[in-house]
Amino acid sequence: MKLRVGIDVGGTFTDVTAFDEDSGALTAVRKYVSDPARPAAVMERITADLAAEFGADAVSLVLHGSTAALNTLLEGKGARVGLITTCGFRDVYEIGRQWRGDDVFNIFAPAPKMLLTRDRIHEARERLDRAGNIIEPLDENELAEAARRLVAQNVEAIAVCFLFAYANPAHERRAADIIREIAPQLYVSLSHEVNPEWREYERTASTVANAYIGPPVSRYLREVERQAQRRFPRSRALMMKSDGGAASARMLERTPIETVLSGPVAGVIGGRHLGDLKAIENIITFDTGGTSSDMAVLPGRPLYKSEFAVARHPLRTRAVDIETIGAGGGSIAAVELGVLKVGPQSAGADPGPACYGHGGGAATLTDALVALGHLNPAVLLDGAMPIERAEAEAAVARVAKPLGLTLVEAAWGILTVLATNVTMAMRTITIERGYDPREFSLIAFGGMGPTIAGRFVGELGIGRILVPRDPGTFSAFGMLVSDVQQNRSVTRMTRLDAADAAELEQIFAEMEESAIAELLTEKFAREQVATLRSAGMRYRGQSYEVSVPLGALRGLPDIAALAKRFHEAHRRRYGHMAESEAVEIVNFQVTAIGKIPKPQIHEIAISGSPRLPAPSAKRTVYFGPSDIVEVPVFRRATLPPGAVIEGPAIIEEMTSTIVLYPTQRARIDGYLNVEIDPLPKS
Amino acid sequence: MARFDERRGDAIGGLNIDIRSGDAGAGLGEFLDIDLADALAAARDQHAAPGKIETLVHRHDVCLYGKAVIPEAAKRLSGIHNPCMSRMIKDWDYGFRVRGLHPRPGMTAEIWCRAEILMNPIDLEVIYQSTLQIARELTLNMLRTGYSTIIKESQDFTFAVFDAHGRMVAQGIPQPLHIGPLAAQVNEIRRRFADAAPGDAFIVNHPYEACQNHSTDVTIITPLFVGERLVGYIGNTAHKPDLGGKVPGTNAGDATDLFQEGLLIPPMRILRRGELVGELEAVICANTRTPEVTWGDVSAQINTNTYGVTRFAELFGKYGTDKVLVCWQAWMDICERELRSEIAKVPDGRYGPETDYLDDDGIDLEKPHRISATLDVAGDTLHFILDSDVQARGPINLRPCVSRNFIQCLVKMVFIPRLPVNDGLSRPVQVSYPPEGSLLNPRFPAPVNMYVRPSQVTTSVAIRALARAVPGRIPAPGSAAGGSISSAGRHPQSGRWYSQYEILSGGTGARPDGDGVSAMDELVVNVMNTPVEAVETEFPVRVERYELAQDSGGPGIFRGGLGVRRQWRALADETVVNLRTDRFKFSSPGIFAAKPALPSAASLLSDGGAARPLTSKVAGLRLKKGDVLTLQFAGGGGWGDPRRRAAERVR
Repeated sequence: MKLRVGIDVGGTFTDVTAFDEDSGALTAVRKYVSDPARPAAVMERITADLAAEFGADAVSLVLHGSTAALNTLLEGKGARVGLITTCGFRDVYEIGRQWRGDDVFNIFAPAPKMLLTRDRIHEARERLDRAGNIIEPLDENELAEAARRLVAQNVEAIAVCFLFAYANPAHERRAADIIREIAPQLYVSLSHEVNPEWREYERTASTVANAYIGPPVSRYLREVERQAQRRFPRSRALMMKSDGGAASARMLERTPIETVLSGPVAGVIGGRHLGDLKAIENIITFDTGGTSSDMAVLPGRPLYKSEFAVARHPLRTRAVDIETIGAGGGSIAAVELGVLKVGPQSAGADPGPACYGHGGGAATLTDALVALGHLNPAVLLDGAMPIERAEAEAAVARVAKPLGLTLVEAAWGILTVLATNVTMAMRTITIERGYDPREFSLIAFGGMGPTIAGRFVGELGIGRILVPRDPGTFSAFGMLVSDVQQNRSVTRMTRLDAADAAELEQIFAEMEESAIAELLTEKFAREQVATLRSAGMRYRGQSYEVSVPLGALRGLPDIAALAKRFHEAHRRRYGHMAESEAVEIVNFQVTAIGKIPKPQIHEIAISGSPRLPAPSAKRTVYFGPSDIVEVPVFRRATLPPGAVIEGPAIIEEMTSTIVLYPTQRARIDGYLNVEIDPLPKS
Repeated sequence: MARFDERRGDAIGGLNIDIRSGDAGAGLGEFLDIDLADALAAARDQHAAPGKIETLVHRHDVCLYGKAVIPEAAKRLSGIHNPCMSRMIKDWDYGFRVRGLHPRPGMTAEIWCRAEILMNPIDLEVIYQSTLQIARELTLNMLRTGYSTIIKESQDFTFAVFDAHGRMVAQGIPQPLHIGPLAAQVNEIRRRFADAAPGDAFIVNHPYEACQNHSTDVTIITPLFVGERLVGYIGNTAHKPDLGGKVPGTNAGDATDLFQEGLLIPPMRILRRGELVGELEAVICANTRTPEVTWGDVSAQINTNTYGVTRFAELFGKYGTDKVLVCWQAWMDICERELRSEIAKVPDGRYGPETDYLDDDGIDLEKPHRISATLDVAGDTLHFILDSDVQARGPINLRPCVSRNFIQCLVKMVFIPRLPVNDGLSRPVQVSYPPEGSLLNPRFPAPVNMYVRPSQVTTSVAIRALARAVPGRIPAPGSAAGGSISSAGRHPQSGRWYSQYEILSGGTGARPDGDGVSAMDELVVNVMNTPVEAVETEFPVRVERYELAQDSGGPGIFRGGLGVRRQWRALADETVVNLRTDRFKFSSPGIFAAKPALPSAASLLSDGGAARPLTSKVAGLRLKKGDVLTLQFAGGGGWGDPRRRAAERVR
């Protein structure tokens, strides 16, 4: 037995999936209650249980995703941080971009978010120009003085962000040496390591955030690694990063900011793997739980974003481009000004939806789905969660009354408004970027994803829904199929028409070499490592870059091909291109991938058309305010590969419920996925 | 021609339309076509006069029930009597058409309408959210495809959606100062181009012919059609880095008439049935120092709208045209209703006048210019009475449509912060102006290019008047100091003309519960700063300092936000700089016994000599390599008596 264990540490539950590499079988799917105050304690319990059950030598790899970094930021529980900047630019962080953003019509618009107070920002004399040439050398005495003042101010971490450090990191490196000499115990965060790209405010904010989460998160990562190795001496422990790759605690030591969005990313990687298994290139992952829906579009490879905000704090670090909206089972329906609104407020897990009977009085999506008969009106989670149907209906009725709607109209309305919010977000990530959802398959998971996916796929023209096994713990499965990844990026403003292929090739090659070297120290063999290149490109004068993948640059034809690919990508994303305009490369990006062998999931051969088992029950279900049908309810575990179910029908399993709408057709495939055709031809 | 004045009703989901025909020369046989699409048909009259006519219309899922009444006075004048009405009103497309009125000079026909729109609350949410989503997406599209640093880094542009009557329905992330002019321009396009056809788009930047802020704000308006039926407009306005005129960057601080302020484009077609009007492109490119960038931006504006047309076609197709139009109407009414109910809570009375001053007009540097505001609160309406000195010779004049809109925005921010911005907000807020020929009501061709300066001071006095009416709900006035610096020259490396434009800010006013925010404006200016690394990458300058000006905020129980200080060193010979700022002599006084903030200041250090102070408006200042220019912005106003400031807040 050779176990690979995926552990998805969420806010409410921690999901565990174990896969035996020898037998190719999933051997365990577990749920633990999370303890956000002591995340390492839950890991301790899980590893103890696994060791007791399977033995210390059975586990070869522990992968885990955690909201540790995210929660540190959200809850404001990071380290006490100091910042050292270029002389004359102490206030860059406090000034921000003088932009009110979504608060444009808020007369009390808040100041930019700061993770430290101004008295902990000090300056040091030094200056580079845009090309990284030294205009003024680093004043080492001033730097040392700044560091000493911060030590006296009891900081636990120091961020250093100098202007143009991305063009030449020499001054930041020297600053780090000096700081470490003075205070070796302090965590040091350097802007050229965190995000070697231009625009000083966002880079400073990212470097400060990295320092802020650095001490607690790297402590946590080392602790988890120690635990895993103590229990399982033959194992290695890896953490999921926001970019969907995994990394060791050592690799993340200097840039724990890379793990901020590690929570929802594993599901995307799992979805990609499932797509590969079934030879489906274009997929959209749709992960809906209690509070939010996470969506990602994968036209082949995942798409990435290089900047996002957490709790109004800008972060620039590479992340799989996942759109998150406040739409989940706990989303609260409310009447405002005679209009029905659903979410983004959530009843959460406690008190949760009214139907949980824990005193939650607000009508949620879950209550509406119970009222409509989509969810089991008696119990959920295989009987672990009793449902109070009367409470659900009373809550929905409280919404219905002021709107002059019937109970069913209001419940259907709640589902419709929420589905519209999801549809709009789906449009944003597909059509707005030039992808036609009709060419995509939707992979629906999370507790609520399979329940509501059927409501909106038709609107987007999505041709297929895939519901994997154990959709409620699919994210933990996703970790089992991830690879180790190492990214490099750098800003080098380069005009393509004046570029020399050999020079560009060298920039990429140096970055690749450095990234590969990092993976080799993680005990990967050279032949296990692959690299991907991309360039952040724009028309001269624009400032938003389009990421364009590319291969080797051997000469002018390759550069011409790159320009062509950029024009195409620009047209796809923005609806037009300008072939006569000068094109620039702004950022060079490299990803090195250390391939981990994937679990081999066996396909079950389907012979003939297996008989459909008898439904476990019948239930009255609404598919519209006046569209009421008595439908069969199936237990998913009883459905054999090859079985076909015509909608309307309900398929229940422990972690989720699939709603098959009228005219939709489901088929169980050889991997035991439920494959739904929303618009079967016959 | 018959002219239609719309008088907005106070009814829920309704509209009173007051139709007057009366222009001399209107001939017999002309029809009055009353397009009641707004209210979707006639309605209930509060006066419940006898002789009303009831009609039921079912159209798609929208059920309309309405009654129309012609009051006695109108009947007498026009000789219409009740039986006639049944023939006059018939179902016509989505509204009603009233026929048979033969307009004569002096005749008035009034039809009081009020629609009860039975639209379900789910569609109301779904359609409006979809509309807002499109507006947001198009804003992003514009942001990402624009060429100039103004669009890409400063986001000095705005996108908005209008119905067929030119009423604003929704907007993307906006510049508040663009909204009013954009609405006025949509209405001007609507008036002038009755022959607008699908595939057309219009361009305009003329401050007097179509109420633009200043000529460097260029607007593209594209009508929306369903088939051949006009159902709305989308429009966007974006600031241009250069549009000719006497100085690089166009906006000359010493301009004394409109014609020195760059190329003027009256409302014109830029797309005809989808084809670009190439001659106009040639004219624009011939009138700017930066044709590639300027035309790149115009082109991005046109393309964004064209893309928007397809997005709205999908929306209309999906929900049905009428349903969407009714939803838009309903949301305007919701905003209006909520705003009225909030205003009704304010004690009636007169507040103010509050007075402040602009330093000078850039021409006569000794003469300050007064701006004042008085607020009358009566029932559920607000009436701002603006006053000012006579119009300035220099470019600090402000067109009324601009100030009317930002005052309405201010009212929304104070009274209904959570509701969307749309035309409903304008209905309970009246703004009146000094006579034509005043700084706040200038006469053509008075120069206007520095309109942001009077806008900020007007905001300040309006805030102070409001603060007297609702003291706990409003901050002290901000710095009113936001301003720009532009420079131009030839780049020593590329040899090309470049034009650099940066907008920087003072601080916001202190709040009733805390200090003001530094480097931010509270309303009219919402523009990003340009990163130091972007400035130096693209232009031959070195930024030597970028910091907050210590102690610049007005002292109070809570102090105003701090202004910023930025210092540039020229790396090229022959850089021409324009400074467009104010508040060097007057600063925010704060409210409730606060002390005034520190004013703005600028200086130039040349040839290693002593720094020489500059005035707030400078045109065509030539810098040599090595010269150092420093610009510091005023702080925001304080709140309350500084002697009562908590000790731990003193630093």
